[in-house]
Amino acid sequence: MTDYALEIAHVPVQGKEDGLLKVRAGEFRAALAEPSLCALLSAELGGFSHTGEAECTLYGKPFFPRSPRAALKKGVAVVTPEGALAGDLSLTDHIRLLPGMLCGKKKARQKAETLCEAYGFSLDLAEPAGNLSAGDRFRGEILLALLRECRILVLCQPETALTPLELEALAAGLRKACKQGKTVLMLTCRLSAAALADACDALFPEPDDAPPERLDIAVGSVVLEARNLTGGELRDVSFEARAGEILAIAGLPDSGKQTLLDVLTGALPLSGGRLRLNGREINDYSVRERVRAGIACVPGAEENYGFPLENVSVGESMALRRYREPAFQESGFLRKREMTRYAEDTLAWLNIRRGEEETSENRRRCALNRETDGNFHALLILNPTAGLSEDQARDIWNRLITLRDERRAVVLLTADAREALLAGDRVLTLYQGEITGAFDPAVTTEKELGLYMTGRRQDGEERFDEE
Amino acid sequence: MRNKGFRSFGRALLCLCLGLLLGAAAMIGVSFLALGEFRWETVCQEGLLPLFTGGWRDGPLALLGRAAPDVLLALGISLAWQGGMLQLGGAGLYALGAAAAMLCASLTGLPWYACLGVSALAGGLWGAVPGLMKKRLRLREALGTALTAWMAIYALQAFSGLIAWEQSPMPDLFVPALLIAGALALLAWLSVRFTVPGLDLRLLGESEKTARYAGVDTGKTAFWALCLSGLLGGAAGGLDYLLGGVHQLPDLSLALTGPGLHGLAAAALAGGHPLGAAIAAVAVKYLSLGVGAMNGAAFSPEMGEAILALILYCCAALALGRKGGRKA
Repeated sequence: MTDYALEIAHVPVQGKEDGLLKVRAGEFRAALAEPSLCALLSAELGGFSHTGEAECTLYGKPFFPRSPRAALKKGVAVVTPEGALAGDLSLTDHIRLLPGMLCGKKKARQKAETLCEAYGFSLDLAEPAGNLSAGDRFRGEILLALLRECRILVLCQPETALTPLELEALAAGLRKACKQGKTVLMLTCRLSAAALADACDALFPEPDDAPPERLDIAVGSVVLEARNLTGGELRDVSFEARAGEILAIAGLPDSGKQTLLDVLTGALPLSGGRLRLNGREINDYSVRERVRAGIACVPGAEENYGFPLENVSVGESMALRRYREPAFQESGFLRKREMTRYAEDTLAWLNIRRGEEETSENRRRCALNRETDGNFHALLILNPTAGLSEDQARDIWNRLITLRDERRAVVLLTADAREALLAGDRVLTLYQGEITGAFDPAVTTEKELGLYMTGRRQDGEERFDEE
Repeated sequence: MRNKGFRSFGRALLCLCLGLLLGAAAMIGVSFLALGEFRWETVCQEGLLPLFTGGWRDGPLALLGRAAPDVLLALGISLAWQGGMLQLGGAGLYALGAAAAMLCASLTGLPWYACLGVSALAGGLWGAVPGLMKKRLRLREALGTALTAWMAIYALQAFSGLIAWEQSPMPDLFVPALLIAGALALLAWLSVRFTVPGLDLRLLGESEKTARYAGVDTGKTAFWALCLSGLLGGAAGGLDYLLGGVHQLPDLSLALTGPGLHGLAAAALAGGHPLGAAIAAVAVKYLSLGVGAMNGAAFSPEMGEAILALILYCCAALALGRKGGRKA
């Protein structure tokens, strides 16, 4: 029997031919890897899919789970930020549904509470999982894995669901679990997260943490002004985006960023508040009128980053928000040739080969290019670098900074505190549809921002002191 | 897009070939069950021969002419499909269109094209009901179309005692029917692919969020798509009556759920591609005419329809199903 609980050979690491990842039993180890590698390893270990690219060994025996159930049977539980909880069921219900756990609500609750206390989690066990925050859902899944008495716990990219402070608290809990014989492997693409573990393997060259270059440019006039916006889950959201400034709005998943984006683009009607673009009220403008007025937008993964390709061609996607303009249509007929030519030019300019448009990175680049190719005043962009590697993210941030330097207003809605601080000139935090604070990225830490992303709030007077 | 188009054509053709092969295999199984022994002659003469030749009996012109109503219905359903909507009301629209054409022909004595127009109008208005409910109340179109169809079929049946059903007095309309169906198929494809409303519709089919992001008025687009879908469905029923395909009203629910299902199957097999749906509708009609010609001890037309559905289902699995259904 080997001392290693888990060995993964042939890890497809950039630059190295054969990566090897070894985790001893009872160890809390982190692996620093690109997002795609994190996803691959977690899918392989959790039995979500089998690519055969990595060769796993569990306690000296080959380990190729064919399904999540098979992986759990062997004592390996994988927790991903996407999660596997049913939105309508509470954590207590989930616990009662675990195999071999047939018991009443009360008993299930007691068991969960004991564990929560032992590892320092504070979770609402009765609330439906769909209403919990992303961080609580992540911790909830860890709790379920522990209740299943798994031997090896694999966490995939916990930093996307948890704030830095939450992650630190979780790490402390996990260390306790390790002392009781569990083995924890944390797959992450963030150095600060990896540093929390007892040991760390770097499966790709360490990213340099220096912020992208900034030019000091005087901030201009207010371009996009939102006053007391309400609608959907938004409550009294007010902010101003100025020309030559990147305003970052940081909020965890489900904090209302998507709703805010929909309200700003006009896809969702406002139920109260005022929205102005360059001083003109645009409350009643439709999506199309807002595009014409100069609001550009690159949405998130749910809308395929604004570059859909299922039922529409590349050319049509490239003209997605402008196909009613005379350049792309003539008395109701699409000018397909123009669209194709425009798309081909753009793809060539972006250095994207034909057939490679469908990756999520290229979708984002295409959409960003399309939206910023015309005359626009404000760009809204949602989670632009989620799931991208450090280099790819840097490209996108540099593009945003270029736009800022061209005196446009950029509103960056992101779930990533680090991204907000690196790319933003001013940062607001959003929690449950409310702005909880305004920050200067030069003097704010990720941890501090994390606190406000999870519910702490600045005083009313303090909130807009920078404006 | 061009590749996708070819793929849809390929699908329709592949389905036809595979369907015929699988049909032969199913026949052998059914004959064995019905007769308790395997007799090659029975399978050939009562099953395979009518199935393969039934559609050709009156020549290709009659086949294409008879398939024209099915093509129209399949087009209507595929238009809704392009917008990501499931039009389940084919049978109701068909019945309504047939009744409208019959009333128009027997009461007013208008020429056939006017009767066809009336049936299309009736179908369009009836299709607008679920469209309006979707636009105003965001009620699912699958529910709306199914329930309005239900209403139409049984209301017509209830009224059938009051109306004297007359056989279509029209002359041989195979050629015009064929031309109309062909032209509409082409028109539907061209407008979906090359016009602004067509792109609106396809974006709606992509996802409602995407469509809204692109500035499409989703409610309006869905409404008009369901109206057009109803219009084509009504025209399909009217055309079938005018061609002499529908004989009497009391049989509506039995006789007309068939075309409704055929149209849905054809549209689904082509993945909503209008031209693909037209071809698939002809193929389905060919097989169903063959099924209608079956008349032996081993194979009743009902059994034939069941086999037809089995064939289409197998085709769908082979042509459209993806390997390894579980998403990786």
